[in-house]
This record gives sequence, structure tokens and C-alpha cells, in this order.
Amino acid sequence: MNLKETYKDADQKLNVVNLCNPVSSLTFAIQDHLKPKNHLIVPNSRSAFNIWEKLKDTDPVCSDFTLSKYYSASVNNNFLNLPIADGYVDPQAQPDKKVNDTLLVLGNFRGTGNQVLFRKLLYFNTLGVCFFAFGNVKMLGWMYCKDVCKYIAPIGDAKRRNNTILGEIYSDIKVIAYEEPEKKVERYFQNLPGATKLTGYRLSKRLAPPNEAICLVEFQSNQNKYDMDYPEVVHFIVKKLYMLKSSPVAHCLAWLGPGAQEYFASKLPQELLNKHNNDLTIEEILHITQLYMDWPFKPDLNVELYADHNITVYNMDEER
Amino acid sequence: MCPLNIKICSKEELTSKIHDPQLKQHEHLFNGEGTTTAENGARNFDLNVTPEVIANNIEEIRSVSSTGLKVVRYSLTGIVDGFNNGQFQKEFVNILETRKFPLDLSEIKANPTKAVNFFELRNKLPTIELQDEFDEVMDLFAHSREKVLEMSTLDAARAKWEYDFEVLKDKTLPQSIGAYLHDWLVRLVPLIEKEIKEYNFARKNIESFERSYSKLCKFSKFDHDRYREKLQYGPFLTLLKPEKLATIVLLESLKCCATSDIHKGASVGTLVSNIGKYIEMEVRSERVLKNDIDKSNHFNKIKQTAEYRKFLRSSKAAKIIEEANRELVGGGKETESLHWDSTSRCKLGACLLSLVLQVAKVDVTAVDPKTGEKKQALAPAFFHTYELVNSGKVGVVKLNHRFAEKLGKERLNQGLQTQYLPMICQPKPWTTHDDGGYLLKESMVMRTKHSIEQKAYVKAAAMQKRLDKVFSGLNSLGNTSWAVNKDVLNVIIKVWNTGEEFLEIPPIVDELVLPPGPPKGASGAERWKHRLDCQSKTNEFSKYRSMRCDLNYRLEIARGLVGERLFFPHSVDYRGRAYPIPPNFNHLGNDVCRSLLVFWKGKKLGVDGLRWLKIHICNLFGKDKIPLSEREAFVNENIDRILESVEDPLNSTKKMMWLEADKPWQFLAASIELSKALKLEDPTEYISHQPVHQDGTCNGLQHYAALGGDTVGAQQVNLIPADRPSDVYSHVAKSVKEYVEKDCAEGREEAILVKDIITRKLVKQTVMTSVYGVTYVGARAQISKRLKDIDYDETEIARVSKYLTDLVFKSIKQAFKGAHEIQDWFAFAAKMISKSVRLDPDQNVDVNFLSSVIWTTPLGLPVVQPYREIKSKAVTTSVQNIMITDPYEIKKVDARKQASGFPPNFVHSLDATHMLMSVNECASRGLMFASVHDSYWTHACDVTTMSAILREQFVALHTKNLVARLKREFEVRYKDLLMEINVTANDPAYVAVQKAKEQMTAKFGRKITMKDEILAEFERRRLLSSGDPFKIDQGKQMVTTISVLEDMNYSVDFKTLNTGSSHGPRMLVPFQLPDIPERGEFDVNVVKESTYFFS
Repeated sequence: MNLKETYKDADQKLNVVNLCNPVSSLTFAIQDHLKPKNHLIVPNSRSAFNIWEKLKDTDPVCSDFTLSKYYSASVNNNFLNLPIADGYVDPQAQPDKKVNDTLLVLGNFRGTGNQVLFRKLLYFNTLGVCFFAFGNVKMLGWMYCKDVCKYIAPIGDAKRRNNTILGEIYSDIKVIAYEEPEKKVERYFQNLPGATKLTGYRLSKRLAPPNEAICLVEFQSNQNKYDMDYPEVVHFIVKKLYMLKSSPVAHCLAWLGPGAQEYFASKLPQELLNKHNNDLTIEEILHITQLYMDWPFKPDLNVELYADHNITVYNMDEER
Repeated sequence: MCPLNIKICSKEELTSKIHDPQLKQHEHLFNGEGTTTAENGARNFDLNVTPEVIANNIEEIRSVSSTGLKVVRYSLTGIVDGFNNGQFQKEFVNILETRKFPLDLSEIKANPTKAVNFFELRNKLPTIELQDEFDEVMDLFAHSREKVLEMSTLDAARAKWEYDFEVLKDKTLPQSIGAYLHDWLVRLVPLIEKEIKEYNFARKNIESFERSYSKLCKFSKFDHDRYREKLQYGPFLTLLKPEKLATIVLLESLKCCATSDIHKGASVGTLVSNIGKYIEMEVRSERVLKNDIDKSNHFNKIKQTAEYRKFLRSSKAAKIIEEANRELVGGGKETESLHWDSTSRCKLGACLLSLVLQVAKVDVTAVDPKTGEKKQALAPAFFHTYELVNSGKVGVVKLNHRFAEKLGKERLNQGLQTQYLPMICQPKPWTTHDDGGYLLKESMVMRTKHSIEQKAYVKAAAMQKRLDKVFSGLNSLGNTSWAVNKDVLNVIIKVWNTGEEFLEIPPIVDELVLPPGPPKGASGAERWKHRLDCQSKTNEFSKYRSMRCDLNYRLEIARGLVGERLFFPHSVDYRGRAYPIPPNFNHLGNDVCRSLLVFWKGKKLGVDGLRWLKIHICNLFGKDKIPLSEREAFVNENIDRILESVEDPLNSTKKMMWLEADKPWQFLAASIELSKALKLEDPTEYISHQPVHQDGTCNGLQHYAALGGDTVGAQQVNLIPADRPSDVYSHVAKSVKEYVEKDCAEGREEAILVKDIITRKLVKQTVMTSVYGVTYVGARAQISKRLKDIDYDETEIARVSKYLTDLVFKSIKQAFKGAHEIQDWFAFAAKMISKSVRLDPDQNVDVNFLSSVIWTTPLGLPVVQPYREIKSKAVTTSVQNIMITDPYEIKKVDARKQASGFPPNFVHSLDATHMLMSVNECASRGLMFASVHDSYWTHACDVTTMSAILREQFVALHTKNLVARLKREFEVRYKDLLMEINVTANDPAYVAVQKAKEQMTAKFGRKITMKDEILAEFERRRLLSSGDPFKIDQGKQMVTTISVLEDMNYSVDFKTLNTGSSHGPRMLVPFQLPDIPERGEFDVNVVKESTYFFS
């Protein structure tokens, strides 16, 4: 990963924010390897907080950590404001650098709850808020092999859906190292550039149950990867196009508005219309977005983008 | 719900329909001669035109343009129709003149078709006797007028769509929507015919192929599956003519989409189910007509008679009639063979909906964003899409927003039920579970949602005449007559028409204007801010529109009913709590609604009444925690400010007192009443119509304190006489403060952090909801929210909220020790019941398939907790996969909800009982009575009498040991159940059971299951109760896992069970309950002397 190279003056300016990590080798390795200026531990629960508090008192390495009073579940768009105000971290905005060398986020994204956090962060990255407001921030995290597939699924794969697309538009996600994955997801790990397979090696039992393979994922925020005029509309289009998995594009386009199917049929080449949604490239999605914006009869965008879409589903035999 | 009886007719037919004798059904409603309201059936109700408001000298309300509002106005025209084109007024005037009423009737004579303000007319009469006689005259016409009103309200909900349909045959009519409908209908019918043809083809070919056992199919797999699918819903397509099917699907799609939020669309599941349901209803109604119209009509007429109802009460008769009814409705063989299940309805609805999505097109115009040119196109009127709802995908059908604008821009209220307006005659008395309330519309005495169990219990109880006291209470509530408070209405309309925000009246926001988007390349923070701004503006816009619409409906109804004598028929919820059936305008509504209602009959204030009116005003202001004498004094001291408010309530130069009140509109209404009284030389002579309220002090806790015999608790909720009213919230806050001070002294960090923030408000919500079984987590969330509201240091909230929650619970427990133990007993008993197993060999025995908690209130009402697990199944349709829940499917009970819901539901059933007992007594003593759960209303002069009744009835209710009674009932009701409990492996009972199991295993030749245990026990009990000595002997010889426990006289050690022995082996034992907690020393009789019990 060349972390030493990337974070050259780590002890002078690097802030590590460590989200809901258990006591793991990565935390200690980063601390030991980079010796960052600040290392903020954000526990995911009160009990995790207590553990870290004890460790801080007993383990000399941990004494350099700062323990956050806020739990990782409360990560929101302005999460870092208070730690910055308290002087726990001091990241700098570096929109022009390839990698922001003042902020590194570590995370544990194993399991359902932490996957929710990862998707939330992915969403924050699309908007450029939270940690990603500082530009080009790198994030390293543990994930189950079966979970990472949806972020690295190649074109044509059934798992290639809105999270894959939004991840691809605004960031570069790659697997750094992985354990022997389960059979059904094996194909996602074949020929992964730069990924190391940990053969015959089992990561700490603390990190995963025996039947769950885990991997280390690098998430590099890259918001300027594509030039977009209407980012909000792109999100809307992606959301709609990927509502159902592996559906024909012509069919998915119908969900964009009344008459959308006919409109796009007249504007897009048949070859594209015949594709399935998981075959679409980012460029094709951006093209669809542009055509949508040019469509005179598109639905009211204010409503589509901002209205609260909670729908009451009534029981079929509801008594009046 | 009424089935649609629609057929395509030409313009000529439409005209002739108006004169159709069947439509002249309203004619018989009036005994008098002259024209009738026959036209009601096909009144020109046009979505594009807002119906005119009733002319009754009240300022018109600036209305929100919505279909819902048009429907309200249309419904209200029934009030004027009820005048029968002036015939009613003529007769009314004749009678008044014949009886020599001292009234000037010239204005009514001059404008016979104008609405009459009966309330004002009546109040002009000098004596109460004459006023009562006036009411008798009104009674002569009330039933007939009510029938016309109900006709018009039913029509308003249905006929507007029928009318649209009828006119759609004629494109030349100025009906933009109708013209589209016509076009869609013309295109839709051939598609349906094609579907039917394909179904017939599929039936012929696929079925014959499948019967032939041939392996060679002439169709591809795709076609075979497609045709197979058609066989599932196809038969239903043939039951009605394609034109009728097309009509139903078009109208229902339009209605469903237009009445849900235009932005959100209608869920496909709901829509297709509704379409299927309407088609089913139409098929059934056709069948009834086809079978034997005369027989049916005759039967229906008989059904309306009192004799029939009496006859119906015998269970044998009910059975015969039900069978006859089933035959009549079931009708022909075709319907018999078709099972209308939810899957079929969905598939049928989806097939027709997919056709509508294809054919329904509208003309739309828009500006090309690239060229700026105006463009015109034919676009689909509906489109199918998906929305993310709570992280799940929901398929919806949305209206094209440009077409939706033609229907009205704002959110339309699906909950609007205009067919249920207040009545203008006394409601039909409840005589059985499904007969009472409205004259023409069928109502059920209990709102049971989908609980088939609850329906069956109520029906059985009604048949056995065990609900007579409940019926009489509901009838008394329904017989309370009301009038609209014109004075307050005028003020509200003035405020409303300004369009500005005022108290709880929302402002007019015509257009949603969003801030311009951030420039390209803007920072994430800027984009985020813009997004939040847009979301909050959109939500606020939507909220204001929706609030304004809702209030508009209410005001429009109030305006239309000015001067009328109103009645609210009541029904009960599953716990027995009474609610008025008319949903939009009633005395249960918000402050505005409540202020708009006064009693129709007035009563002289008297000295006592004047005092209570003043106390009432003080209560409404918010000062209800001081002694009564101080409340009266408060009003006397502030009388100038109160009168000033009345004089010029909307004076903008001064801060009027009424605007500072807790319930400003009700405060204003009561103040107007007081000012009118004070204008008299002797204010005590004033005839007052104002309801005066008596509210319980945390009524749930009052019942708990009485149940538990808690002296401290009883004192805090005013069950014990005192000079000043107690406030339970202040008491708990004080107690918490004491604990905190003690902890501070010991240096506890959390205590030091919170010592200055303990207030009544901090603990109020938790204390209030403790009655309703708030959990620890819930209580902590409430306190955390309160801490956030006061901007408490966020980093400390988690810690201190835990500390405070512990203390609040500790304080409540301390004050309501007995009540708390009872609450625990309730929850435990409910858990035991819902986790018990029935001995029922007919069903697939499942330890999780368990019993609901059922009990009977002291008035004989059976209460069945409806909590069952929601079970959905996926149905593949031509539009999308749909998840449906069938309410009639047998589902497992939700044991957690059954247990957590029982304590509050039981207490609610008690407060409902107390209310019904009180209303029965008040009615017998001639008092006017209304209730809003634990707030009881009567005339000012009757408050003292009502107060005495409330106390007497409370004492009467709690003198019996209700918990012991409940335990007895449970023991009888669930005596045949078996409970599964955890025991220790060395428990002698468990050892004996294991031995019995080994014997059974040897006998069965395999390891026995719980099902075997249950079936064996079932068999043993069957033999024992057979009456045959031989079989009884056999039963006695049988050894089961339960019989060995009986032999040991086994009883569950609930102490161990309660102390968390949730691990260890499990064993089935006969149903048992722990002893009820001991009652404290509080003597409920002292309530009779407590001034502040209700005050």
C-alpha cells in the first residue's frame, strides 16, 4: 500500500479516525507503522468504549489513542466538527492532491450493522460531506468477502447494482488482501489487480467466525473522476435503473416517468436498450442522465428528488 | 361498502335514467307531497367544478382546491336536499304556526329553499318547554332528512365516479377527464375481450393437453407458462361484461391514484387488490339481482324490522338466516366453483391494471429545456415505478403530474370518509352488534380491524344479550345533541380566509418554490445544505397543504351544518373505548373542532353553573393545578381581559388573553358564553349551551392506584380528598430530585451533572406512559429527547439519561408499588397465555401457534387482543411481484405484543367501562353527557351532579376485586391449555415426566415429540369426559406427561420461574397463573369525597 510513502509526514499531520474497530492488528499496525499525529478511536458501543478505556490505561501503545465520546452509529454528515473543535483531530482540505495525507479512516465494516455504516459513508462520499469534505480521503476497512462483491462487481455481473455504480463514480475501491473466499463468491477475487491472497493464513478469530472469509478493502475517494452537471439527477437515475436486479435497460427506463420508455427508445441505440442494467457503463449512465435532463416531459424533479416518499401500503381488505 | 352498479348508457339513456323509477327511491322518504330529490342519483357532480356552498349567512370559506373538498361540499348539499325543494320548510312552518309558536317565520316563508338556522330559531323561544316542543316538531322530519343526507353522502363517495363514467359516453360534454375516460374505455374494452379470448384458448388447449398426459406440448415453455397463468385469473374475467370490467378498473385506478398523495403514488399491491375486490363485489351484487330481485328485496325489507332483529338474536334463527343469506349471495354454480382468494384478486387486478397502463394516454404540454420551444405530446396518464420505502422497494402507480394537475394539485386525503357526516336525527339505537348508528349505512358496534376472533366474540355476546349496558351507553352518547358554535366559527373563518398562519391554523402556501441549486463544482457541504433546504421546504409545503386540507374539510362541514341539530353515533374500539363514528368533524378533534361544538339544548346556569363555567375557563387557560376557589378567583381577577378577548378577538394591536391560553379556541368559546351570561342582569339566569369538562388526573394511574390499593399513588392522582389538587408529575420530579441530592452528597458524577435540570416536564412523558407499559429503552429515549430539547451536552446524554431513567422508574415504583406489581402480574399472565399450547388435534400443532389474551369487561364486553404476526406471501402478476397479507388467514399470535399490550389495554377497558357506567347513570338522571375518554362533558349547571356520578361509578367499579375476577376468568377460559416452562433437570416433576416420556417412547417405538405429548393428553381428556364408564376407565389408565403431574398435584413454582430460570429443560404443564399481588390499604370509597378526582 506504500502507506509510508503516501503519508510521508504522518507524525506531523496525519489524523487517523478509527471507526468501530475491534482491538485488531490493523489498528496497532497503523499506529506502529505510521505513528500518526492523532489517532481517534470511535467505538461502536458502550462496551467497546469501556474496553478501549481499559486498554488505554494498561497498554502503552494504546495510550496514544484518543477515545471518542461519540459512537460510530452516530456518524453523520458533520461528524468531525466536534472532534476538530475539541482538538482531537485537525485534518486539512486537499481537493487537488491524489490522496489526502492529513486524514486516513480505518473501519470495521463486517456484519449487517457495519455494512449499513459503510453504505452511509459511501453515500456521504457521493455528496462530499463528513470525512470526504476534506477531499480524496482514503479509507481502509475490514469486510466479509461476500459483502465486498457488491462494490467490486464487474460489468455484467448480477451484483453490479446502485452501490457498485455510486462507488465507481465517486471513488476507487480495491481489495488489498483477502482470505480464501467462499465458493459462491470466488470469481470476484480472481485476477484482482494488486490483491494478495492470504493462503494458509487465518486472520484473528476475533475478526470473523470460522466460516466467514474476510478481506481488507481500500476505498479511495475520488469525487472528480467524472465531470457531472447534475450529480443529484445521476443519483436519481442510478436509484431507479437499479431498482430490480438484472433487468433489461428498456424496461428499467420506463420507471423514470410517464412515457420515458418511448422517449429513450427514440434517443438511445437499440444495442444499449437491449442490454441489462448490470451491463451499463458509467459513461452510458451519464449519457442517459443528460438525455433525461433534455426530456421536456420528465416528471417534476423537485418532487422526485426531494419529496418524502413514504408510501402507505394499505391492507387489501381494510375496513372503511 | 356499496357495490358499483354501473352500465354504459348513451346520453339519452342518461337523461332517462334521471327519471328512472329506481332512482326515485328517495321519494318515499317524505310523507308530504310534491317533488322529491330523485335527481340525487345522477346529480351533476363534476370534478372540474367545485359545488356551491350552502347559503346560510355564514361567510364563505376560502377553500383549498381539492377533490376531497368537492366531495365534502357535494355531501353537504344533502342538507339542503333534505329540505325537499322547500316542501319541508312549508310543512315545518305550517306546524309551527298551527301550534302557535311565538316565532317570526316570515323569512323562512320568503326563502323556502334556503337553509334554516334551527338553533337560532329554537333559542328565540322563551321557555324550555317550548324549546322541547320545537324539538318534537323537528323530530317529525329528522329521519326523512337524515335519509336524504345519507343518500347524498353515499352518492358523493360513489356517484361522482359513476357520473364521470356515464358522461364519458358523450365526448361532447365539457368534461376533460370524462373525455379521456371515454377514450380509455373504448381502447380498453377490446383488450379485455382479447384477454378473455386468450383465456378461452388457453383453457381449451392447455387443459386438454394436461388431461391427455401427452408429453408433447405444441407451445414453447414460455407460452405454456403464460397460458397457465391466464388460467388462474381468466375465469374471473368472464364473470362480468368487458365494459363493466373496464369501467371498474379505470375508475378504481383513477380514484386510488388521485386520493393517495400525487407525489407518492398508489402502491401497486393496494391498487390491484382494490380492483379485484370491487370486481368481486360487483359480481356478487349482480348475482343477488339475477337470482331473485323480488325475493331479495323482500328479504332485505324484513331484515330492517325490529321483529326480525329479535328473532335474529336466537342462535338457531341466526344459523338459518346465515345459510339462506349465503345461498342467496353464493348464487349460481359458476361463483360457487370460483374461490375469490387474495391471490386471484391480485392477479385479476394486475392483469386489468397492466391494460390500463397501456391505453390511458393524455395530452400534455411542456417546454423543451434545450430549445425553449413549447412541445405537445400524448403521454401515459399513469406510470409504474418503484420507490424506496424504509430501505425496501415498493412498486407504485403514479399519475402523470401534468394530468394530476387537472384533478387538483394538493395531497388528497384518502382517509376522508364523507359518507360519515354527523347525523341530523337521533342515531338508530344499537340493538345488536351490527345494527345501530346510521339509518342507511351499515355500521358495526365494534371496530375490529381484521380480527375475526373479536368479531365472533362480540357477535356471540350481543346474541346472548350481554352487551345491553354497552349498547345503552353508546345510545346515550349518540343521543347527545349538538350544534355548531356560530360565534367561534365566524372568528375562525375570518382568520382562515386571511391565509396567514394563526395558532394551529396553517398558512396558505400556493407554490413550492425551491432555492436554486448550487453551481457546478460546489463543495459537498454546499450541495448537502441545498439538499436539506429543499427537503425541508418540500416537507413543510406538503405538511401545510395537508394540514390546511384537513382543517378545510372540518370547517366546511361545520359551516354546512350551522343551525342544525347534530348527533354523533358512537361505536367502540376493541377495548371498549367509545368513539364517534363521523371521523372528520366531532368533539374528539383538536382544539379548533372542540371549540366549534355546543350542546343543542341549553340549561340555566344557576349559581353553581356560573362557578363551574369560570373554573372551566381557568382550566382551558392552563391553570388546572390550583384549588377550585383559586381558579374561580383567577377568572374574576382577569374578567376585563377575558371580556376584551370576546369583544374583539382578532384585535392586532393588543396581545389578547385568549391567545395565551393552553387551548385558545375552546377558551374563546367558553369566554363568549361567560360574557353573554354577564350581560344579563342576573347571569345565573343565562341559558348555557357550553359543555364544561371534568378531566381525570392521569386516569390510567387512577385506575392502577385503585387496583393496587396504593395509598401514596392514590394521593398523587387525587383519589384521596385533599385541599389542593396533587400533581403526580411534580411528585415524581420531587422524588427524583431527592434521590439526586442524596447521590450528589455521595459525589456521584451523574447526579452532579443533572442536579439543576430536574423538572416536572422532564419526567412527565415517562410517568404518563408508564401506565401504557413504556419499556426501559422507550423511557430512556423519551428522557434523552427531552435533554436534547433543552440543549443538554450531547456527550453526556447517554450517561445521564440512563441514570435519570433509573430514578424515574424507581420513583414511580415507590409511589405505585401495588400498581406496579399488578402491572407485572398482567404482563406475566399475558405472556403465559400467549405462549400456551391448545389441545387441538385438528390443527397442525405448533408450540408457537398460540392463544390471544381475551377478557370480559365488567359490562360484559369481550375484549380480544388482535396482535398476530403479519404473514405476507408473494404473488407474481403481470405488473410486478406483489406481497400481500390475507387478513383472514390464520396467523400465529405475536406473543411479545400480546404481553406488552395487555396491561395498558386492560386499563383502557376499565376506563371505558367507567365512562359507560357513568353515561348510563347520567342519562338516567337526565344529564347531557359527552366524553373524550377520560374527559367528561356536561352542562355547567350539571357538573356537580355529574361529578358525584363519576365518583359513585368509580367506587362501584373498584369495590369488586377486578384483578381476582380477571384471574378467575383466565383460569376458566384457558383451563384446557398447556404451558411450556423451563425447569431444572433435578426437579422431581421433570424426572417423573421424563419417565413417562420413556414409557411413551417404548410404546410408540420412537422418540416422542411435543405433538405426541399433546395428542396423548387430548385423547386422555376426551376419554375422561366421554361419560362412558369404560372409556373413562381407559382414560384413567392412560399415562401422559400431564397425568403424571396431576398425580403429583404439581403446581408451578412461579417464584423460580420469575427469577429468570429461562435456561434448562422445558416441560409442558397444565395452565396455571401465579397468585395475584396483595392489594394495598387504600379504601376506594374515599374517592366519593375527593374534590380533585376529576376536576
